[in-house]
Amino acid sequence: MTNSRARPHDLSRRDVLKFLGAAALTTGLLTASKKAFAKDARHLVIVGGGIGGSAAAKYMRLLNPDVKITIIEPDDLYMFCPGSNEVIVGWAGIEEITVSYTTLKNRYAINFVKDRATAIDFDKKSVRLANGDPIRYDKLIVSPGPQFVYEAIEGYNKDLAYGEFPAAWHVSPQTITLRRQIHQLKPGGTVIISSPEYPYRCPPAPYERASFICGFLKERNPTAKVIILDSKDSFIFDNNYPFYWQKEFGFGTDKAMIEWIGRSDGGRVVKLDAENHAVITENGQVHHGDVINIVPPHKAHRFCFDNDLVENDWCPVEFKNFESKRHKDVHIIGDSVDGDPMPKTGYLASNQARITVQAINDEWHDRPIGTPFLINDCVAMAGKNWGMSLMETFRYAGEGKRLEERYIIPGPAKNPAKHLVLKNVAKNWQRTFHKDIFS
Amino acid sequence: MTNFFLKLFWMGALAALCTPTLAAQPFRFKPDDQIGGMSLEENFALAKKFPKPSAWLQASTCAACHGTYGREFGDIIPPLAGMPRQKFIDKMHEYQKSDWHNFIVMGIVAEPFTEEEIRDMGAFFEKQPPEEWTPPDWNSDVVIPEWAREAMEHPHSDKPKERRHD
Repeated sequence: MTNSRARPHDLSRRDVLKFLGAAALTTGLLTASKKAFAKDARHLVIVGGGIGGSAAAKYMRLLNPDVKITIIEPDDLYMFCPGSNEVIVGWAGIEEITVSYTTLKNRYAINFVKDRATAIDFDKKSVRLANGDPIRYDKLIVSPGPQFVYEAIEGYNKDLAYGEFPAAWHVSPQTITLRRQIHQLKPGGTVIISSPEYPYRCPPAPYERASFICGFLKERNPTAKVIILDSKDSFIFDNNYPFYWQKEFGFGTDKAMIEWIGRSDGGRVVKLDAENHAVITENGQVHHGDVINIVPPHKAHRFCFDNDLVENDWCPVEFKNFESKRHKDVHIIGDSVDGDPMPKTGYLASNQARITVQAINDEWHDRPIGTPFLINDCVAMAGKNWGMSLMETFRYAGEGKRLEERYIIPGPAKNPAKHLVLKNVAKNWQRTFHKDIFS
Repeated sequence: MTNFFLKLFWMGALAALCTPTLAAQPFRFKPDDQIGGMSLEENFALAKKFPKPSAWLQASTCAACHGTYGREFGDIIPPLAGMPRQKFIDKMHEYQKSDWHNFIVMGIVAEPFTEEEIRDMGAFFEKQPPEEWTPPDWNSDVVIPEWAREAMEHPHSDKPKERRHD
């Protein structure tokens, strides 16, 4: 699809001034609305300033200029998980995946409270901060991300994850440690990546990470090896990654730089032997690794457990509006939701946010709540110059029912140039996605 | 002629010998397209059963790639804002009716949308001003925290380099 209209760099000076004028007008309108919030204005409070929470705030403002919106978030910056595998191998700088909350604050009149939310009082409709202050809400959106269960692997824990054995499944100092370990790997060293059972955040990411690390090592440390120990017998894009690995890393041969061991062949890691730098799998096999990257199993965030929002490790919701099935006026979006068949992705968190704010706004205006519709158009990469995509759509199937999914995951294209273009699409998507949520 | 049949015999024998060896090391992954979940017919039946999603919501599902209200002018992904309604509809029909292997992304994206949904999105995007949503300086105040500094700008980075003036 092409659009013949001028792109920004083709604009004349006059066009630029016109454009800036329009932008100022939008900003002006929203700022004016901030000052003019009525005393009885409704208050939307959001726990968590990640992709789900921030998208909810921005899109609620686009729907409704009069509502007060507050995000409770302890951090000043947000670092995107999409793109963080590039950071680990040095194909991108961390500044490329980092955004500030300034535009959300100024352009959309969103109030940020820099603290951690601890407890919900459902009767008084207020949420308590770590400093003890309560914040009253009319509607609460909970978007805290998942909780990593490091202890599910015997011998593994949070301290080790922040030390010598980073999981790096959320951008944190663990990401930097893993990056350093990969860059400083001894010649001929071994990198072990343990991929968990479903559900976990971003299903293709362990394979993308393994693939990137292998590509990096092929250039810098070609006798090194990557071993994926998998708690599953198949994985997403397994019609693509193994073929890229065959082509690039001799996958399936004696000289393979990358190896994949599925669950049936003893791939499920059950124990970390930190002292001997080894992991032990279900069938008792011991794998020594110079770098050991265990992606731990997940469950709903601690905040959800502390506030009675969880059943069987995840938060049950009604998919019409993502309202908790356990408590009224509390909506949950993102990785803590029991959303099967939806995978846990930022893409879906942003679409869940839009459904939720539209439903809340409809309810406030006494309109029937709209029918949800979600897509997850994942663009993943296997290497610096090789991308791929899949499409999932989710349709509403009725009250109390789970969403119905349809998906297409194309295999490798006949023309390899398509994968180069798809890599550029993937990078373009990352940049646009940052803007869609935060600008 | 006899020579030819002899050759054929030996080739056959060789193939027969090789087959068990090949079969003993099957490559378990298939490079096939994977299609699953409900069928297209079930998808359209479900769409019919409930009120259609709002145009705002439908169009917003495009935002993650095409920007808020279709207003990002990406280097690869085109904007949708301001696109004439009929052009949008025709494009979506083309994606739906042709072999989706012929397209980079949209071939697999367009498939499950109903006629009404496509028309609604087309009307929505036609109304949007074709101006970039994001101001150029929207994220210029980011200061990377101390713990993450060593992962900044790297020689391997594939980010387009900005021109620097001395």
